[in-house]
Amino acid sequence: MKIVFLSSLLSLLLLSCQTPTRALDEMKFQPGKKKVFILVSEQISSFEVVKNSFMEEGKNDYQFLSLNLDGNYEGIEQLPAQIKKLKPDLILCIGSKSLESVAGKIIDTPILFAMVLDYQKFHPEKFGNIAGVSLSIPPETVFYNFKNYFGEINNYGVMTSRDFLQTQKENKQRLSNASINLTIQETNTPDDVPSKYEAMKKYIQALWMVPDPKVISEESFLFLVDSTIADKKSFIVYSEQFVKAGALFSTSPNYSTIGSQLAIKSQQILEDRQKPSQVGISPVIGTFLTVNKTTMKKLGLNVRMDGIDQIFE
Amino acid sequence: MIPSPLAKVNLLRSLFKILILVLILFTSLNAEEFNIIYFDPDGNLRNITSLQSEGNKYFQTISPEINFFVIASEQILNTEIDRLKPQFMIVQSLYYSRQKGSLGFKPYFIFLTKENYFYHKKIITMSLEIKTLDDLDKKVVASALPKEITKELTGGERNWKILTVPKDMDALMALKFKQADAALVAENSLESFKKLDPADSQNINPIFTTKSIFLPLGVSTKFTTNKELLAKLTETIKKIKADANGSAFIRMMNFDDTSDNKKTLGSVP
Repeated sequence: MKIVFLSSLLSLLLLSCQTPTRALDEMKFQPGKKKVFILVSEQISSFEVVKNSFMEEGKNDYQFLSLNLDGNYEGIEQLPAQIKKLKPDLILCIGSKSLESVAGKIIDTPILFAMVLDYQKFHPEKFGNIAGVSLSIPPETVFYNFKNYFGEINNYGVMTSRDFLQTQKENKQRLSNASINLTIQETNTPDDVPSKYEAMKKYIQALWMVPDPKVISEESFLFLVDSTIADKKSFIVYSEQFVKAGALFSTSPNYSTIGSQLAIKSQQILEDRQKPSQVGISPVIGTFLTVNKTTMKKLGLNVRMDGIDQIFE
Repeated sequence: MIPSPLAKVNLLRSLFKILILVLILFTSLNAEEFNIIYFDPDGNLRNITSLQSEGNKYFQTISPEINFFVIASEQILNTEIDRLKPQFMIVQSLYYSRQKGSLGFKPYFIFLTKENYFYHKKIITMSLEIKTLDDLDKKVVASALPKEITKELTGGERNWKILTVPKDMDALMALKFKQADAALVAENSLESFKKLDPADSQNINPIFTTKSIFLPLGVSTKFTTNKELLAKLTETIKKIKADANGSAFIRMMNFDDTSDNKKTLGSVP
Protein backbone atom coordinates (compact mmCIF):
# COMPACT_ATOMS: atom_id res chain seq x y z
CA MET A 1 0.00 0.00 0.00
CA LYS A 2 2.82 2.35 1.00
CA ILE A 3 4.67 1.60 -2.24
CA VAL A 4 1.59 2.41 -4.35
CA PHE A 5 1.09 5.67 -2.46
CA LEU A 6 4.75 6.69 -2.81
CA SER A 7 4.90 5.85 -6.52
CA SER A 8 1.70 7.87 -7.13
CA LEU A 9 3.20 10.79 -5.24
CA LEU A 10 6.40 10.49 -7.28
CA SER A 11 4.46 10.47 -10.58
CA LEU A 12 2.54 13.55 -9.46
CA LEU A 13 5.79 15.31 -8.57
CA LEU A 14 7.31 14.40 -11.93
CA LEU A 15 4.22 15.65 -13.75
CA SER A 16 4.27 18.96 -11.91
CA CYS A 17 7.98 19.38 -12.70
CA GLN A 18 7.44 18.67 -16.40
CA THR A 19 8.09 21.73 -18.54
CA PRO A 20 5.33 22.53 -21.03
CA THR A 21 7.73 21.98 -23.89
CA ARG A 22 8.24 18.36 -22.85
CA ALA A 23 4.58 17.71 -23.60
CA LEU A 24 5.33 18.63 -27.21
CA ASP A 25 7.67 15.64 -27.57
CA GLU A 26 4.69 13.33 -27.41
CA MET A 27 2.58 15.26 -29.92
CA LYS A 28 2.24 14.24 -33.55
CA PHE A 29 -0.10 15.26 -36.37
CA GLN A 30 -1.75 12.54 -38.45
CA PRO A 31 -1.37 12.52 -42.23
CA GLY A 32 -4.31 14.01 -44.10
CA LYS A 33 -6.10 17.17 -43.05
CA LYS A 34 -4.24 20.47 -42.77
CA LYS A 35 -2.44 20.86 -39.47
CA VAL A 36 -3.11 23.68 -37.00
CA PHE A 37 -1.04 24.03 -33.84
CA ILE A 38 -2.68 26.04 -31.05
CA LEU A 39 -0.50 27.58 -28.37
CA VAL A 40 -2.28 29.07 -25.36
CA SER A 41 -0.47 31.15 -22.72
CA GLU A 42 -2.65 30.58 -19.71
CA GLN A 43 -5.66 28.75 -18.36
CA ILE A 44 -8.18 31.58 -18.70
CA SER A 45 -11.83 30.95 -19.52
CA SER A 46 -12.01 33.61 -22.26
CA PHE A 47 -8.94 32.02 -23.95
CA GLU A 48 -10.74 28.67 -23.88
CA VAL A 49 -13.84 30.22 -25.47
CA VAL A 50 -11.72 31.59 -28.33
CA LYS A 51 -9.95 28.26 -28.81
CA ASN A 52 -13.14 26.18 -28.71
CA SER A 53 -15.01 28.47 -31.07
CA PHE A 54 -12.08 28.39 -33.53
CA MET A 55 -11.84 24.59 -33.36
CA GLU A 56 -15.60 24.16 -33.74
CA GLU A 57 -15.58 26.26 -36.91
CA GLY A 58 -12.65 24.39 -38.39
CA LYS A 59 -13.39 20.86 -37.18
CA ASN A 60 -14.29 19.50 -40.63
CA ASP A 61 -11.28 20.90 -42.44
CA TYR A 62 -8.35 20.84 -40.05
CA GLN A 63 -6.67 18.70 -37.43
CA PHE A 64 -5.55 20.38 -34.24
CA LEU A 65 -2.81 19.94 -31.69
CA SER A 66 -2.92 22.22 -28.73
CA LEU A 67 -0.59 23.15 -25.88
CA ASN A 68 -1.59 25.29 -22.92
CA LEU A 69 1.51 26.73 -21.22
CA ASP A 70 -0.66 27.26 -18.16
CA GLY A 71 1.44 30.25 -17.12
CA ASN A 72 4.56 28.07 -16.87
CA TYR A 73 7.13 29.60 -19.22
CA GLU A 74 10.11 27.49 -18.22
CA GLY A 75 11.99 26.29 -21.29
CA ILE A 76 9.86 28.52 -23.52
CA GLU A 77 12.90 29.34 -25.69
CA GLN A 78 12.84 25.76 -26.96
CA LEU A 79 9.26 26.06 -28.16
CA PRO A 80 9.90 27.42 -31.70
CA ALA A 81 12.23 24.54 -32.60
CA GLN A 82 9.83 21.96 -31.19
CA ILE A 83 6.81 23.46 -32.94
CA LYS A 84 8.74 23.50 -36.24
CA LYS A 85 9.35 19.77 -35.85
CA LEU A 86 5.58 19.22 -35.90
CA LYS A 87 5.45 20.94 -39.32
CA PRO A 88 2.13 22.71 -38.77
CA ASP A 89 0.45 24.53 -41.68
CA LEU A 90 -0.63 27.29 -39.31
CA ILE A 91 0.04 28.32 -35.72
CA LEU A 92 -2.61 30.01 -33.58
CA CYS A 93 -1.31 31.91 -30.55
CA ILE A 94 -3.82 32.78 -27.84
CA GLY A 95 -2.41 35.20 -25.26
CA SER A 96 0.56 37.51 -25.17
CA LYS A 97 3.24 35.07 -23.99
CA SER A 98 2.39 32.53 -26.68
CA LEU A 99 2.79 35.13 -29.44
CA GLU A 100 6.00 36.40 -27.85
CA SER A 101 7.45 32.88 -27.89
CA VAL A 102 7.10 32.46 -31.68
CA ALA A 103 6.95 35.97 -33.22
CA GLY A 104 10.12 36.48 -35.26
CA LYS A 105 11.37 33.01 -34.32
CA ILE A 106 9.13 31.12 -36.71
CA ILE A 107 8.90 33.05 -39.94
CA ASP A 108 8.09 30.42 -42.56
CA THR A 109 4.75 29.30 -41.10
CA PRO A 110 1.66 31.55 -40.92
CA ILE A 111 0.85 32.69 -37.39
CA LEU A 112 -2.52 33.93 -36.19
CA PHE A 113 -2.95 35.57 -32.81
CA ALA A 114 -5.73 36.68 -30.47
CA MET A 115 -6.18 37.89 -26.89
CA VAL A 116 -2.97 39.94 -27.02
CA LEU A 117 -3.53 43.38 -25.51
CA ASP A 118 -0.36 45.06 -26.76
CA TYR A 119 0.43 43.11 -29.92
CA GLN A 120 2.20 46.13 -31.48
CA LYS A 121 5.23 45.53 -29.28
CA PHE A 122 5.92 42.30 -31.20
CA HIS A 123 6.00 44.26 -34.51
CA PRO A 124 3.96 41.71 -36.47
CA GLU A 125 4.21 43.80 -39.65
CA LYS A 126 8.00 43.25 -39.66
CA PHE A 127 7.78 39.50 -40.26
CA GLY A 128 5.02 39.17 -42.87
CA ASN A 129 3.76 35.85 -41.49
CA ILE A 130 1.56 37.21 -38.69
CA ALA A 131 -2.14 38.11 -38.79
CA GLY A 132 -4.73 38.20 -36.03
CA VAL A 133 -7.55 39.80 -34.14
CA SER A 134 -6.66 42.66 -31.83
CA LEU A 135 -8.49 43.21 -28.56
CA SER A 136 -9.48 46.74 -29.42
CA ILE A 137 -13.11 47.64 -30.01
CA PRO A 138 -13.46 50.57 -32.40
CA PRO A 139 -15.01 53.61 -30.66
CA GLU A 140 -17.70 53.68 -33.37
CA THR A 141 -18.81 50.25 -32.15
CA VAL A 142 -18.97 51.54 -28.57
CA PHE A 143 -20.91 54.70 -29.36
CA TYR A 144 -23.26 53.21 -31.99
CA ASN A 145 -24.25 50.48 -29.55
CA PHE A 146 -24.70 53.04 -26.77
CA LYS A 147 -26.77 55.38 -28.97
CA ASN A 148 -28.82 52.45 -30.22
CA TYR A 149 -30.17 52.05 -26.67
CA PHE A 150 -29.79 55.46 -25.06
CA GLY A 151 -30.72 57.70 -28.00
CA GLU A 152 -29.23 60.81 -29.56
CA ILE A 153 -26.28 61.40 -27.26
CA ASN A 154 -23.45 62.94 -29.24
CA ASN A 155 -21.13 64.67 -26.78
CA TYR A 156 -18.66 62.32 -25.13
CA GLY A 157 -15.58 62.89 -23.01
CA VAL A 158 -12.50 60.75 -22.51
CA MET A 159 -9.51 61.04 -20.20
CA THR A 160 -6.30 59.71 -21.63
CA SER A 161 -2.63 59.70 -20.74
CA ARG A 162 0.03 60.95 -23.12
CA ASP A 163 0.59 57.31 -24.21
CA PHE A 164 -2.79 57.15 -25.97
CA LEU A 165 -3.28 60.82 -26.77
CA GLN A 166 -2.56 60.45 -30.48
CA THR A 167 -4.95 57.49 -30.78
CA GLN A 168 -7.71 59.51 -29.16
CA LYS A 169 -7.04 62.47 -31.45
CA GLU A 170 -7.45 60.15 -34.42
CA ASN A 171 -10.64 58.75 -32.90
CA LYS A 172 -11.97 62.29 -32.43
CA GLN A 173 -11.32 63.08 -36.08
CA ARG A 174 -13.01 59.91 -37.32
CA LEU A 175 -15.98 60.17 -34.96
CA SER A 176 -16.74 63.70 -36.15
CA ASN A 177 -17.81 62.12 -39.47
CA ALA A 178 -20.62 60.43 -37.55
CA SER A 179 -21.52 63.72 -35.76
CA ILE A 180 -20.01 62.48 -32.51
CA ASN A 181 -18.02 65.06 -30.53
CA LEU A 182 -15.25 63.67 -28.39
CA THR A 183 -13.74 65.97 -25.77
CA ILE A 184 -10.26 64.79 -24.76
CA GLN A 185 -8.62 65.60 -21.43
CA GLU A 186 -4.98 64.59 -21.08
CA THR A 187 -4.68 62.97 -17.65
CA ASN A 188 -1.37 61.45 -16.61
CA THR A 189 -2.15 60.32 -13.08
CA PRO A 190 -5.30 59.05 -11.34
CA ASP A 191 -4.91 61.93 -8.86
CA ASP A 192 -5.73 64.39 -11.66
CA VAL A 193 -9.01 62.65 -12.52
CA PRO A 194 -11.28 64.86 -10.31
CA SER A 195 -9.97 68.15 -11.70
CA LYS A 196 -9.95 66.92 -15.31
CA TYR A 197 -13.50 65.62 -14.96
CA GLU A 198 -14.64 68.95 -13.49
CA ALA A 199 -13.03 70.75 -16.43
CA MET A 200 -14.84 68.74 -19.09
CA LYS A 201 -18.20 67.91 -17.50
CA LYS A 202 -20.12 70.88 -18.85
CA TYR A 203 -19.23 69.90 -22.43
CA ILE A 204 -20.23 66.25 -22.27
CA GLN A 205 -23.34 64.10 -21.93
CA ALA A 206 -21.43 60.86 -21.35
CA LEU A 207 -17.99 59.87 -20.12
CA TRP A 208 -16.08 57.10 -21.88
CA MET A 209 -13.46 55.21 -19.89
CA VAL A 210 -10.71 53.42 -21.84
CA PRO A 211 -8.10 50.95 -20.52
CA ASP A 212 -5.36 53.32 -19.41
CA PRO A 213 -3.50 52.49 -16.17
CA LYS A 214 -2.33 56.09 -15.83
CA VAL A 215 -5.93 57.24 -15.50
CA ILE A 216 -7.74 54.41 -13.78
CA SER A 217 -7.29 53.43 -10.17
CA GLU A 218 -9.91 52.05 -7.83
CA GLU A 219 -10.26 55.48 -6.27
CA SER A 220 -10.53 57.40 -9.53
CA PHE A 221 -13.04 54.90 -10.91
CA LEU A 222 -15.28 55.17 -7.84
CA PHE A 223 -15.01 58.95 -7.98
CA LEU A 224 -16.23 58.86 -11.58
CA VAL A 225 -19.12 56.51 -10.74
CA ASP A 226 -20.37 58.89 -8.03
CA SER A 227 -19.72 62.08 -9.98
CA THR A 228 -21.36 60.94 -13.21
CA ILE A 229 -24.47 59.83 -11.31
CA ALA A 230 -24.57 63.14 -9.38
CA ASP A 231 -24.17 65.09 -12.64
CA LYS A 232 -26.67 62.87 -14.53
CA LYS A 233 -24.03 61.83 -17.07
CA SER A 234 -23.79 58.36 -18.55
CA PHE A 235 -20.62 56.45 -17.73
CA ILE A 236 -19.46 54.08 -20.50
CA VAL A 237 -16.74 51.55 -19.67
CA TYR A 238 -14.92 48.68 -21.39
CA SER A 239 -15.61 45.77 -19.05
CA GLU A 240 -18.70 44.31 -17.40
CA GLN A 241 -16.86 44.29 -14.06
CA PHE A 242 -16.98 48.08 -14.01
CA VAL A 243 -20.70 48.02 -14.80
CA LYS A 244 -21.21 45.62 -11.94
CA ALA A 245 -19.38 48.17 -9.77
CA GLY A 246 -21.68 51.04 -10.77
CA ALA A 247 -20.89 52.32 -14.27
CA LEU A 248 -23.84 52.51 -16.67
CA PHE A 249 -22.89 50.62 -19.84
CA SER A 250 -20.09 48.52 -21.25
CA THR A 251 -19.12 47.17 -24.62
CA SER A 252 -16.58 44.37 -24.41
CA PRO A 253 -15.47 41.65 -26.84
CA ASN A 254 -17.55 38.57 -27.55
CA TYR A 255 -14.86 35.88 -27.37
CA SER A 256 -16.76 33.35 -29.42
CA THR A 257 -16.81 35.80 -32.36
CA ILE A 258 -13.03 36.21 -32.07
CA GLY A 259 -12.81 32.44 -32.67
CA SER A 260 -15.06 32.82 -35.71
CA GLN A 261 -12.93 35.70 -37.04
CA LEU A 262 -9.78 33.58 -36.61
CA ALA A 263 -11.41 30.65 -38.42
CA ILE A 264 -12.13 32.87 -41.41
CA LYS A 265 -8.55 34.17 -41.40
CA SER A 266 -7.23 30.60 -41.33
CA GLN A 267 -9.43 29.74 -44.35
CA GLN A 268 -8.15 32.79 -46.20
CA ILE A 269 -4.56 31.70 -45.54
CA LEU A 270 -4.87 27.94 -45.93
CA GLU A 271 -7.59 27.65 -48.61
CA ASP A 272 -7.44 30.91 -50.54
CA ARG A 273 -3.64 31.12 -50.32
CA GLN A 274 -3.66 34.70 -49.09
CA LYS A 275 -0.56 35.94 -47.31
CA PRO A 276 -0.95 36.66 -43.57
CA SER A 277 0.11 40.24 -44.27
CA GLN A 278 -2.85 40.55 -46.69
CA VAL A 279 -5.22 38.99 -44.18
CA GLY A 280 -4.03 41.54 -41.62
CA ILE A 281 -4.99 42.40 -38.08
CA SER A 282 -8.67 43.07 -37.44
CA PRO A 283 -10.55 44.77 -34.63
CA VAL A 284 -13.00 42.82 -32.52
CA ILE A 285 -16.35 42.57 -34.28
CA GLY A 286 -18.67 40.74 -31.88
CA THR A 287 -19.72 42.62 -28.77
CA PHE A 288 -20.96 41.81 -25.29
CA LEU A 289 -23.17 44.57 -23.88
CA THR A 290 -23.98 45.14 -20.23
CA VAL A 291 -26.10 47.66 -18.35
CA ASN A 292 -26.45 48.54 -14.68
CA LYS A 293 -30.18 48.91 -14.04
CA THR A 294 -29.70 50.59 -10.65
CA THR A 295 -27.46 53.26 -12.17
CA MET A 296 -29.95 53.63 -15.00
CA LYS A 297 -32.72 54.34 -12.48
CA LYS A 298 -30.50 56.83 -10.61
CA LEU A 299 -29.96 58.66 -13.89
CA GLY A 300 -33.71 58.65 -14.57
CA LEU A 301 -33.30 56.57 -17.73
CA ASN A 302 -35.67 53.92 -18.99
CA VAL A 303 -34.55 52.12 -22.10
CA ARG A 304 -35.40 48.85 -23.85
CA MET A 305 -33.26 45.88 -22.84
CA ASP A 306 -33.54 43.57 -25.83
CA GLY A 307 -30.09 42.63 -27.08
CA ILE A 308 -28.35 43.55 -23.81
CA ASP A 309 -26.25 40.54 -22.85
CA GLN A 310 -26.15 41.09 -19.11
CA ILE A 311 -28.06 43.34 -16.72
CA PHE A 312 -26.71 44.16 -13.27
CA GLU A 313 -28.95 45.49 -10.52
CA MET B 1 -61.86 -13.07 18.83
CA ILE B 2 -64.03 -9.91 18.67
CA PRO B 3 -61.96 -6.71 18.55
CA SER B 4 -62.60 -4.21 21.30
CA PRO B 5 -64.19 -0.83 20.34
CA LEU B 6 -60.85 0.88 21.05
CA ALA B 7 -59.03 -1.44 18.65
CA LYS B 8 -61.70 -0.69 16.02
CA VAL B 9 -61.12 3.03 16.41
CA ASN B 10 -57.36 2.54 16.10
CA LEU B 11 -57.83 0.42 12.99
CA LEU B 12 -60.07 3.08 11.44
CA ARG B 13 -57.53 5.76 12.31
CA SER B 14 -54.75 3.76 10.62
CA LEU B 15 -56.88 3.21 7.54
CA PHE B 16 -57.68 6.91 7.43
CA LYS B 17 -53.97 7.78 7.68
CA ILE B 18 -53.17 5.39 4.82
CA LEU B 19 -55.97 6.94 2.75
CA ILE B 20 -54.55 10.43 3.37
CA LEU B 21 -51.04 9.25 2.39
CA VAL B 22 -52.36 7.70 -0.83
CA LEU B 23 -54.22 10.93 -1.60
CA ILE B 24 -51.08 13.03 -1.01
CA LEU B 25 -49.05 10.68 -3.18
CA PHE B 26 -51.68 10.78 -5.93
CA THR B 27 -51.86 14.59 -5.82
CA SER B 28 -48.09 14.98 -5.93
CA LEU B 29 -47.88 12.57 -8.87
CA ASN B 30 -50.53 14.54 -10.67
CA ALA B 31 -48.82 17.90 -9.98
CA GLU B 32 -46.20 17.18 -12.63
CA GLU B 33 -44.06 19.99 -13.90
CA PHE B 34 -45.27 21.95 -16.87
CA ASN B 35 -42.13 23.11 -18.64
CA ILE B 36 -42.11 25.85 -21.24
CA ILE B 37 -39.04 26.32 -23.46
CA TYR B 38 -38.33 29.49 -25.42
CA PHE B 39 -35.99 29.09 -28.38
CA ASP B 40 -35.42 31.77 -31.01
CA PRO B 41 -31.91 32.10 -32.44
CA ASP B 42 -32.94 35.39 -34.04
CA GLY B 43 -34.43 36.84 -30.89
CA ASN B 44 -33.38 38.44 -27.67
CA LEU B 45 -31.80 35.38 -26.12
CA ARG B 46 -28.65 37.04 -24.87
CA ASN B 47 -29.93 38.33 -21.59
CA ILE B 48 -31.08 34.86 -20.66
CA THR B 49 -31.11 35.22 -16.87
CA SER B 50 -33.34 38.28 -16.82
CA LEU B 51 -35.60 36.93 -19.54
CA GLN B 52 -35.98 33.62 -17.74
CA SER B 53 -36.74 35.40 -14.48
CA GLU B 54 -39.28 37.76 -16.12
CA GLY B 55 -40.92 34.81 -17.91
CA ASN B 56 -41.16 32.74 -14.74
CA LYS B 57 -42.66 35.70 -12.90
CA TYR B 58 -45.41 35.90 -15.52
CA PHE B 59 -46.07 32.20 -16.10
CA GLN B 60 -46.18 31.37 -12.39
CA THR B 61 -49.09 33.77 -11.99
CA ILE B 62 -50.93 31.37 -14.32
CA SER B 63 -49.82 28.27 -12.41
CA PRO B 64 -47.00 27.52 -9.95
CA GLU B 65 -46.45 24.26 -11.87
CA ILE B 66 -45.00 26.17 -14.83
CA ASN B 67 -41.24 26.45 -15.27
CA PHE B 68 -39.92 28.67 -18.04
CA PHE B 69 -36.58 27.97 -19.71
CA VAL B 70 -34.73 30.07 -22.26
CA ILE B 71 -32.34 28.15 -24.50
CA ALA B 72 -29.96 29.92 -26.84
CA SER B 73 -28.45 27.19 -28.98
CA GLU B 74 -30.10 24.47 -31.02
CA GLN B 75 -27.45 22.00 -29.90
CA ILE B 76 -28.39 22.53 -26.24
CA LEU B 77 -32.08 22.55 -27.13
CA ASN B 78 -31.86 19.10 -28.72
CA THR B 79 -30.53 17.56 -25.53
CA GLU B 80 -32.72 19.59 -23.17
CA ILE B 81 -35.95 18.65 -24.95
CA ASP B 82 -35.51 15.02 -23.91
CA ARG B 83 -34.78 16.02 -20.34
CA LEU B 84 -37.39 18.75 -19.85
CA LYS B 85 -40.13 17.23 -22.03
CA PRO B 86 -41.72 20.66 -22.58
CA GLN B 87 -45.49 20.73 -22.64
CA PHE B 88 -45.37 24.09 -24.37
CA MET B 89 -42.76 25.89 -26.44
CA ILE B 90 -42.22 29.33 -27.90
CA VAL B 91 -40.18 28.66 -31.01
CA GLN B 92 -38.70 30.44 -33.98
CA SER B 93 -40.86 29.85 -37.05
CA LEU B 94 -38.03 28.26 -39.08
CA TYR B 95 -37.42 25.78 -36.27
CA TYR B 96 -41.18 25.17 -36.07
CA SER B 97 -41.30 24.32 -39.77
CA ARG B 98 -38.41 21.89 -39.48
CA GLN B 99 -39.53 20.14 -36.31
CA LYS B 100 -43.34 20.30 -36.31
CA GLY B 101 -43.62 16.66 -37.40
CA SER B 102 -41.08 15.14 -35.04
CA LEU B 103 -42.09 17.20 -31.99
CA GLY B 104 -45.83 17.17 -32.70
CA PHE B 105 -46.16 20.97 -32.63
CA LYS B 106 -49.65 22.47 -32.63
CA PRO B 107 -49.66 26.30 -32.90
CA TYR B 108 -51.81 28.38 -30.55
CA PHE B 109 -50.53 31.90 -31.10
CA ILE B 110 -47.95 33.97 -32.91
CA PHE B 111 -46.13 37.03 -31.58
CA LEU B 112 -46.62 40.46 -33.10
CA THR B 113 -44.31 43.45 -33.45
CA LYS B 114 -45.88 46.70 -34.58
CA GLU B 115 -48.90 44.65 -35.70
CA ASN B 116 -46.70 42.57 -38.02
CA TYR B 117 -46.30 38.84 -37.59
CA PHE B 118 -43.37 38.45 -39.94
CA TYR B 119 -40.15 40.19 -40.88
CA HIS B 120 -37.50 40.01 -43.56
CA LYS B 121 -33.75 39.94 -43.56
CA LYS B 122 -31.58 41.41 -46.26
CA ILE B 123 -28.16 40.67 -47.62
CA ILE B 124 -26.43 44.02 -47.87
CA THR B 125 -23.01 45.04 -49.11
CA MET B 126 -20.87 48.15 -49.45
CA SER B 127 -18.92 46.75 -52.37
CA LEU B 128 -19.85 47.98 -55.83
CA GLU B 129 -18.51 44.75 -57.33
CA ILE B 130 -21.06 42.60 -55.50
CA LYS B 131 -24.43 42.68 -57.21
CA THR B 132 -25.87 39.19 -56.73
CA LEU B 133 -25.50 36.36 -54.23
CA ASP B 134 -23.26 34.54 -56.73
CA ASP B 135 -20.73 37.38 -56.49
CA LEU B 136 -20.25 36.41 -52.83
CA ASP B 137 -18.44 33.19 -53.74
CA LYS B 138 -15.54 32.68 -51.27
CA LYS B 139 -16.42 36.01 -49.64
CA VAL B 140 -17.17 36.74 -45.98
CA VAL B 141 -20.81 37.16 -44.97
CA ALA B 142 -21.53 38.33 -41.40
CA SER B 143 -24.69 36.96 -39.82
CA ALA B 144 -26.21 36.83 -36.35
CA LEU B 145 -28.05 33.64 -37.28
CA PRO B 146 -26.65 30.13 -36.97
CA LYS B 147 -24.89 29.01 -40.16
CA GLU B 148 -27.57 26.47 -41.12
CA ILE B 149 -30.34 29.08 -40.88
CA THR B 150 -28.27 31.64 -42.79
CA LYS B 151 -27.87 29.07 -45.56
CA GLU B 152 -31.56 28.12 -45.44
CA LEU B 153 -32.65 31.74 -45.80
CA THR B 154 -30.30 32.45 -48.67
CA GLY B 155 -31.00 29.48 -50.89
CA GLY B 156 -28.96 26.60 -49.49
CA GLU B 157 -25.33 25.57 -49.55
CA ARG B 158 -23.00 28.27 -50.86
CA ASN B 159 -19.28 28.75 -50.89
CA TRP B 160 -19.36 31.61 -48.39
CA LYS B 161 -17.28 32.20 -45.31
CA ILE B 162 -19.88 32.94 -42.67
CA LEU B 163 -18.74 35.16 -39.82
CA THR B 164 -21.06 34.37 -36.92
CA VAL B 165 -21.69 37.44 -34.77
CA PRO B 166 -23.98 37.92 -31.75
CA LYS B 167 -26.15 40.75 -33.06
CA ASP B 168 -27.21 42.45 -36.30
CA MET B 169 -25.38 45.59 -35.14
CA ASP B 170 -22.14 43.56 -35.05
CA ALA B 171 -22.81 42.32 -38.59
CA LEU B 172 -23.27 45.93 -39.69
CA MET B 173 -20.05 46.96 -37.96
CA ALA B 174 -18.25 44.05 -39.68
CA LEU B 175 -19.36 45.57 -42.95
CA LYS B 176 -18.34 49.09 -41.92
CA PHE B 177 -14.89 47.96 -40.84
CA LYS B 178 -14.46 45.79 -43.95
CA GLN B 179 -14.31 42.57 -41.97
CA ALA B 180 -17.13 41.20 -44.08
CA ASP B 181 -18.06 41.63 -47.74
CA ALA B 182 -21.76 41.37 -46.96
CA ALA B 183 -24.09 41.08 -43.98
CA LEU B 184 -27.43 39.41 -43.37
CA VAL B 185 -29.49 41.77 -41.22
CA ALA B 186 -33.12 42.51 -40.39
CA GLU B 187 -34.76 45.51 -42.04
CA ASN B 188 -35.27 47.28 -38.70
CA SER B 189 -31.57 46.83 -37.79
CA LEU B 190 -30.64 48.46 -41.09
CA GLU B 191 -33.02 51.33 -40.34
CA SER B 192 -31.37 51.82 -36.91
CA PHE B 193 -27.93 51.83 -38.51
CA LYS B 194 -29.01 54.46 -41.04
CA LYS B 195 -29.83 56.80 -38.16
CA LEU B 196 -26.50 56.09 -36.44
CA ASP B 197 -24.29 56.38 -39.50
CA PRO B 198 -26.01 58.25 -42.31
CA ALA B 199 -22.73 58.69 -44.23
CA ASP B 200 -21.77 55.01 -44.49
CA SER B 201 -25.40 53.98 -44.92
CA GLN B 202 -25.43 55.74 -48.28
CA ASN B 203 -22.94 53.17 -49.53
CA ILE B 204 -25.03 50.18 -48.45
CA ASN B 205 -26.70 48.24 -51.25
CA PRO B 206 -29.23 45.50 -50.55
CA ILE B 207 -28.75 42.63 -52.99
CA PHE B 208 -31.20 40.06 -51.62
CA THR B 209 -34.31 39.93 -49.44
CA THR B 210 -35.26 36.71 -47.70
CA LYS B 211 -38.72 35.20 -47.78
CA SER B 212 -41.04 36.33 -44.98
CA ILE B 213 -39.85 35.00 -41.63
CA PHE B 214 -42.73 34.57 -39.24
CA LEU B 215 -42.26 35.74 -35.66
CA PRO B 216 -42.04 33.01 -33.00
CA LEU B 217 -45.04 30.80 -32.31
CA GLY B 218 -46.49 29.39 -29.10
CA VAL B 219 -47.02 25.67 -29.60
CA SER B 220 -48.03 22.57 -27.69
CA THR B 221 -45.84 19.53 -28.20
CA LYS B 222 -45.92 15.76 -28.27
CA PHE B 223 -45.16 15.93 -24.53
CA THR B 224 -48.33 17.91 -23.71
CA THR B 225 -50.43 15.93 -21.24
CA ASN B 226 -51.93 18.62 -19.00
CA LYS B 227 -54.67 19.83 -21.38
CA GLU B 228 -56.40 21.77 -18.61
CA LEU B 229 -53.32 23.89 -17.92
CA LEU B 230 -52.63 24.23 -21.65
CA ALA B 231 -56.12 25.72 -22.10
CA LYS B 232 -55.63 28.06 -19.11
CA LEU B 233 -52.21 29.13 -20.42
CA THR B 234 -53.33 29.88 -23.96
CA GLU B 235 -56.44 31.71 -22.75
CA THR B 236 -54.37 33.86 -20.36
CA ILE B 237 -51.78 34.66 -23.02
CA LYS B 238 -54.54 36.20 -25.16
CA LYS B 239 -54.62 39.00 -22.57
CA ILE B 240 -50.82 39.17 -22.07
CA LYS B 241 -50.62 42.82 -23.09
CA ALA B 242 -53.07 43.87 -20.37
CA ASP B 243 -51.10 42.11 -17.63
CA ALA B 244 -48.24 44.10 -16.05
CA ASN B 245 -45.90 41.06 -15.75
CA GLY B 246 -46.91 39.77 -19.17
CA SER B 247 -46.40 43.09 -20.86
CA ALA B 248 -42.93 43.50 -19.26
CA PHE B 249 -42.06 39.98 -20.38
CA ILE B 250 -43.02 40.40 -24.05
CA ARG B 251 -41.40 43.84 -24.17
CA MET B 252 -38.16 42.19 -23.06
CA MET B 253 -38.54 39.74 -25.94
CA ASN B 254 -39.09 42.76 -28.22
CA PHE B 255 -42.71 41.87 -29.07
CA ASP B 256 -45.87 43.93 -28.62
CA ASP B 257 -48.65 41.37 -28.50
CA THR B 258 -49.84 37.94 -29.59
CA SER B 259 -52.44 36.82 -32.13
CA ASP B 260 -54.34 33.54 -32.34
CA ASN B 261 -55.69 34.28 -35.82
CA LYS B 262 -56.28 30.83 -37.32
CA LYS B 263 -55.64 32.00 -40.89
CA THR B 264 -52.25 33.44 -39.94
CA LEU B 265 -51.28 30.38 -37.92
CA GLY B 266 -52.32 28.18 -40.82
CA SER B 267 -50.13 30.12 -43.24
CA VAL B 268 -46.91 29.32 -41.35
CA PRO B 269 -45.22 26.62 -43.43
